[in-house]
Amino acid sequence: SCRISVLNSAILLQGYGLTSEALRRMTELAITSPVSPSLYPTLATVLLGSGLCMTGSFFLYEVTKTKSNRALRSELILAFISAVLLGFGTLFLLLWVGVYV
Amino acid sequence: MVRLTDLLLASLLALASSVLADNIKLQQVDRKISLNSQFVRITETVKVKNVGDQVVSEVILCESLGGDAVLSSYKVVETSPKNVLAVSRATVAGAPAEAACHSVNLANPLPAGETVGLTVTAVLAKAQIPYPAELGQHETQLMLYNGNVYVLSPYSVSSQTTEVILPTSTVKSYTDEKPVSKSDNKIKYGKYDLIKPFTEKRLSVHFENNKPFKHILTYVKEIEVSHWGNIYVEEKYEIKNAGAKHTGSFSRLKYAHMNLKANSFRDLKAVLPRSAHSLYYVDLIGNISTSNVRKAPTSTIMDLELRYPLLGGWKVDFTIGYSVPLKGFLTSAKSGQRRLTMDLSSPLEDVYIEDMVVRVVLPEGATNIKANLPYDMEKSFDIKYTYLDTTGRPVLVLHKQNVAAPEHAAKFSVDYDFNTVHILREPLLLVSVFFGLFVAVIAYNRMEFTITRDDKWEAARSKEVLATYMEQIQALLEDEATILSGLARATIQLREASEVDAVQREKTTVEKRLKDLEEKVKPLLAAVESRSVRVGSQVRDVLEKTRLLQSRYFKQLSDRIDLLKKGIALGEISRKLAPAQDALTAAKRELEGTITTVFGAY
Repeated sequence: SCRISVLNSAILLQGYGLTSEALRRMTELAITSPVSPSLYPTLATVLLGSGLCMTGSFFLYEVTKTKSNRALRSELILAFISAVLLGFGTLFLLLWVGVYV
Repeated sequence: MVRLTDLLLASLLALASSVLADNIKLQQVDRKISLNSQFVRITETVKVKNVGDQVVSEVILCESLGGDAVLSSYKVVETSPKNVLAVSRATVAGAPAEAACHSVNLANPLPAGETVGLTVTAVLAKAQIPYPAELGQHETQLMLYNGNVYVLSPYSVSSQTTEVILPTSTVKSYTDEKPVSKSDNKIKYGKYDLIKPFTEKRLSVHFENNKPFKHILTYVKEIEVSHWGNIYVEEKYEIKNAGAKHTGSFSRLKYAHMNLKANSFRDLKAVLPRSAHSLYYVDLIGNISTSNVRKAPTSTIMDLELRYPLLGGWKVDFTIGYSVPLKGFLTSAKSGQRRLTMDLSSPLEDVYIEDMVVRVVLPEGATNIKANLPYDMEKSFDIKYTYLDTTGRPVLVLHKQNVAAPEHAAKFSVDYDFNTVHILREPLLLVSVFFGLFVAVIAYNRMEFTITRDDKWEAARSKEVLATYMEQIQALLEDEATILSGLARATIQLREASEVDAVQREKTTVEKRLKDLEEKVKPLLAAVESRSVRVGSQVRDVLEKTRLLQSRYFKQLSDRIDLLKKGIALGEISRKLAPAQDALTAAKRELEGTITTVFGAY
C-alpha cells in the first residue's frame, strides 16, 4: 500500500511536468511509523491496563510476603515487566492524545 | 616624458574597460515595470548581439536601485530553450552608484555575430516611497517610484521601450521624456534609439497605490519531525503595514462605514498543504477566532483576519501552527538516508519578509544532516529540548533576509541519517523511570528504620520469623494437596485392569514425593516448636490429619484396583466405593478448614 501511495504522488508530479522528480519518487519509500497510528488507542489501553495489573501484583507481593521469604529475583522480574508495560503504555497514550514525541 | 610601462598600463586599462562595452550590444530591450502591488516587478526581454570577434560566454545586466530599494529576486531565463541561467553579483567599473549588476553565464557560448534572447525578472522591495509620508484615516495613498527611463546597461542599447503599469489610472505626475504616452493605467516610454551605456535619466512616477503593503518584520518557522507519525509546523509572525504612516485619530465607526479602506488591511491568506490538520491561530492573548479554513483540491486555505486592521505604520504579531502526517513529506532513499521535503517560505500570499528563519528540528539520534536549498541561505545548528528528550534534538537553522512571497515560494529538502533504533529512546526513558520507582520500593522494603530495638520490636520480629516458617509449611502442604488431587484424578479415571500397572507406578512416585515433603517439613516444624509450643502442637495436629488423609487416598486406590481385578463392572465399582469417596471428600474439606484457621493468621 505504501508503494501505491508513492506511485500516486509520482503520477501527480508527472501531471505538473516534473518528470525527473517523479522518477526519483518512485525509487523512494514513504516512511511510516513502526506501529500503525490506528492501533495507538488499543495499544495504549491494553498496555496501561496490563501494566497496572502487574503493578498491583508487584505491590501485593511486596505487602504479603514476609521479609525472609522474599526473593529478589522474582521482585525484579515483576518490577521489570510492570515497568515495560507501563512505559510503553504511557508512550502510546501520549501518541494517541496527539503529543507526537 | 611618459614611461613606456605607464603607457602600456594605461592602454591596457582602456582596453579592459572598452572590451567590456564594445563586444556586446543590446539590440532590443522591452521592459515592463509593474507597480501594481507593494513590489516593483521588472520584466525585461533582452536581445543580446555579439558584435566582437570572440566567443562570449558572459553577459552583464544591471538594474537601478534607488534609496532603500532592495533587490529581492533576480532571475534570468534564456528565451528560446527556456534554460534558467546562473547569475552572480558583479561590480562593473563605470557603473553608477545605485546600479546592481549581475553577471549571467550563458548556457551555450555565443559565437561572433550571433544573437541570443534573455528574459530578466527582477523583484524590488521597498522601492515605492510613500509620498506624502503620513496620511489621515481615509486618505488615499500615493507612492513615488524613482527609476531610470533608459535601461541601465554597460553596453549600448540599439532600441528600447519601457512600459510602466500602475494599479489605477490616477497619476499625479510622471517624467516627460519624449516619446511618452499614457493610456488608462499604462505609461509607455519609447522607443529610444542608440542609447549609450549607463545613461541616467531619472524616471519618477507619482501615482495612487492602495494595495496593501504587507511587511513581515520577523518570520520564524519551526518544523518538528517525529518518526511516530507527525510533523509539527509552527510559524511566528510580526507583521507591519509599511505604507504611508497613519497620523491623527482613528475612528472605528468611520472605518466600519466607509468603503474606501485606503492603505489599511486586515486579511491574510495562507495556503497550506492539503493534509494539514490541527490548525491553530493564536497570539500572546490567546486564540484568535477570526479565521476560516477550507480544503481545496491541492491545498488547505486558511483565511486569517488580524485582531485589528493595520493602518500605515501599525504592526501586530501572531502565531500559526498546523500538523501534517508523514506521507508525502518524509521519505527514505535507497542509501538509507531520510529525506524531509517541505515548503521553505511563508504560506502567506503577497508578503515581503525582511528576516526569515527556518528551524528544522529532527528527532534525537539524527546525524549527518544536509540541506538542499532552492536558493542561498545561511546555515547553522542548534539543540532543542522537548518531550522525552535526553540529549536534545538537533536543529538545522536556515536564515535569509529580503524574501518576496510569490517568487521565493519553493520546496526544500533535508537529508539525514536516522537509525530506527533511536526511535526507542523515548519509550525506554519512560520504562527506566518506572523501573526506578519500583526499585526504590524494593530498596525501601529492605531497609530497617527503627531507631531503638526494644521489647516491642523484639516481639514483632519473632512473630515475623514464626510467620516465615508457617508460610513455608503452608506452601509445602499446598504442594502435597496438589499431588494428592492428581492421584485422586488417576484413581477415578482407572477403568480397566490393563491400566493398573501404570497407576501403581504413579502411586510409587507419589509416595516418594510425599516422603520428600515430609523431610522438608521436619526442620520447619522443629523451628516452629522452638519458637512457640502452642503453635507447634497445632501444626503437629494438622500434619497428623494430612497423614490420615493420605492413607485414605491410598486405601481408596487399592480398593478400586482390587474390584477391577475381580472383573466387576464399572457402575458396580463406583456404587461400592461411593461411601468411602464421600467420607474422603468430607475429610479433605475438614482438613482445608483446619489449615485455614491455623495458618490464616500468618
